[in-house]
Amino acid sequence: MIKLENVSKVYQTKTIETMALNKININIEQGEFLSIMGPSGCGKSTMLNIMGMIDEPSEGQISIGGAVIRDYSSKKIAQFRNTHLGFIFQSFHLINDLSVVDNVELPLLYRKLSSKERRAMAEEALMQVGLKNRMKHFPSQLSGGQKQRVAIARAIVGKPNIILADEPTGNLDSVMGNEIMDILLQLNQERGTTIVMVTHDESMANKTNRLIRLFDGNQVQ
Amino acid sequence: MLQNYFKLAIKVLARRKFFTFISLFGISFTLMILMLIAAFLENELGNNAPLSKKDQMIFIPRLIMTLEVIDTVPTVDSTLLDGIMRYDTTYEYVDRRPSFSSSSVSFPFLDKHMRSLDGAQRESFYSTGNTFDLFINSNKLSFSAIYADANYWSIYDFNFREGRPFQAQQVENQEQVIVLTEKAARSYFGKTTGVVGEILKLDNKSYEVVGVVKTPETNRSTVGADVFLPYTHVNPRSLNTEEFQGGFQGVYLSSNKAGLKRIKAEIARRAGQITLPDPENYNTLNPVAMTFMERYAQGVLYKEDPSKSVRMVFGLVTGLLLLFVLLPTLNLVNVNISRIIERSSEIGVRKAFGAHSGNILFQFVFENIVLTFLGGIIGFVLALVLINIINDSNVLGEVNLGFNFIVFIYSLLICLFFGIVSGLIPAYRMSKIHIADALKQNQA
Repeated sequence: MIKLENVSKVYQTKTIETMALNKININIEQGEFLSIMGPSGCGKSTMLNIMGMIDEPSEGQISIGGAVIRDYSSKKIAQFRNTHLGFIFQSFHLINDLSVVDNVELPLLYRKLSSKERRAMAEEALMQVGLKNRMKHFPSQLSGGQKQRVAIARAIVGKPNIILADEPTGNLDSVMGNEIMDILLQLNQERGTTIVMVTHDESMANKTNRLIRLFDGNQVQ
Repeated sequence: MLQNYFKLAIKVLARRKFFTFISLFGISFTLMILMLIAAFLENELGNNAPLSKKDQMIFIPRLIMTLEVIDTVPTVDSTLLDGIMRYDTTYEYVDRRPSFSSSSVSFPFLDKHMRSLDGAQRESFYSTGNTFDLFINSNKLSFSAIYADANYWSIYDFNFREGRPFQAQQVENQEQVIVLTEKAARSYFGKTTGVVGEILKLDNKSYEVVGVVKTPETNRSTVGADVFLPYTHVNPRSLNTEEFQGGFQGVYLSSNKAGLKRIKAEIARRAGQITLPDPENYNTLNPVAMTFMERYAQGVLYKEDPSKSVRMVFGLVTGLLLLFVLLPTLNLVNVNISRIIERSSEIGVRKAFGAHSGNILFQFVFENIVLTFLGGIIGFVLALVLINIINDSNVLGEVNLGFNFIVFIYSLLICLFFGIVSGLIPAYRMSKIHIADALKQNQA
């Protein structure tokens, strides 16, 4: 499903060169729930960003569903992200000026859908995360766990086959973290959505199918 | 999508009250000034009655008479060359104008030399700048008057509220008839209707009112008067003078714009054929023939060549307008950059979920257009209020500013220009931002 071949990422400044990823080779199968662990700065988020095509590798190539992304134009990449990928961020990244339902609708704005269709899909996604009753609320009126559930609804509203989650439980207490994890597991098991999750939490990682560990940009497990 | 963008634009504006106030104030104030200028220019230069056919007119407002002398100035240089003094004389020819006279034209000059010009459908000669003081119930009234021929009414399309213009026969017979503006009728008779047939006393003569016209909403001297009389009532000396200069001016109506050049050329040709009676004093004659725009521009910025005046006034107005538009636009660009940078996290999220740069660009430009249209509406209302105040206060004389469709379209275009230009640069910069970098900022 997702294949990283010899992927390296180097961050270059005037004085220093930092190797964030060093020749990473990973093959993630469809329907897999993979977690990535490692200490801060080891390249976990960089790897996730490269998988999500929001960052480019310095070397190597990435293919998703057999398609080599390097050959895509930026517009096609945007379209690909919209159709196939969903993102969940540690700090939610909700738009405070939009209501919950408008936030969830956001990925659908870039598809050719009527407002009625968009609204119906957003409501359905909110129902799946148990927040339909909060759809008219604004992010500032929600708790951290609720915000993350809205972010999950936004990630799944377009029915992507891959979800990339960057520390989705990192800003939550354990109860809320478990709730979020349950939703992700349910998505993976019931819908067969491929999920790649970066986490610091060993207990969360243990719930996934596979775990890889990074250290100083190298894959160590 | 537009609905979503609109909703967000309104939310952002409501949230950032100070920014919104600064932006809206800048936009609405500038637009108010621009709309005011546009309304003023439309009033001054638009095809409004009684100058609806102004683009087909050539005016002779003045006759310039000069004595042109070419002086020969010899210069003798001496050089000692091989022990011999040598002399070299050069001559320089210098144009001088020891006599120069510029004044309006005499009726006999126009009547004798400037009738039935090639390219002109008809012409009219009239005298402006005359005033009469009269007393009604011990109140002093001051009426400005134009002495005109019958053709005057077919060149300038006055709006007759009642009655009709005086006819050629009435002019020739020196009938004591008069046309008034509504304003004059109101101040003299206390009413604007039922005035035809009444008698108005002017300069110890009794004139029968034959027509009442809508007061021209302009200060142009060619049409801006309170009363209009047959030119045959002007001081008889003015009609019989042998001088070329006098108190009259001429206007010619062409059937099309091409005719204007022919009329000008014909005026110059005829002037060239005239023998000046006293070449010791004046040896050149130049009846100044100008289009409406040239005459207007020369009134603003005098240059001997009227077309140069037009170019300079056009450049000046364009420059001022550009400055008026550019300053708030630059300010808005600046404000927008900081406003958009604050929303970089949102841009990151949108791009992560499939927005491409074009979507982001469109969204922010759209938001700016919403903002500028809001400013436009406020500016429009402010301008209406200000125009009413200006009209009521008579600070611009008879000029009556008003909105019409053209001014409205100009205003809309100005709004659009503001919205696009002030939003485009910052939006373009932000649309190119790297997603990962954008997401690192302003985390929600």
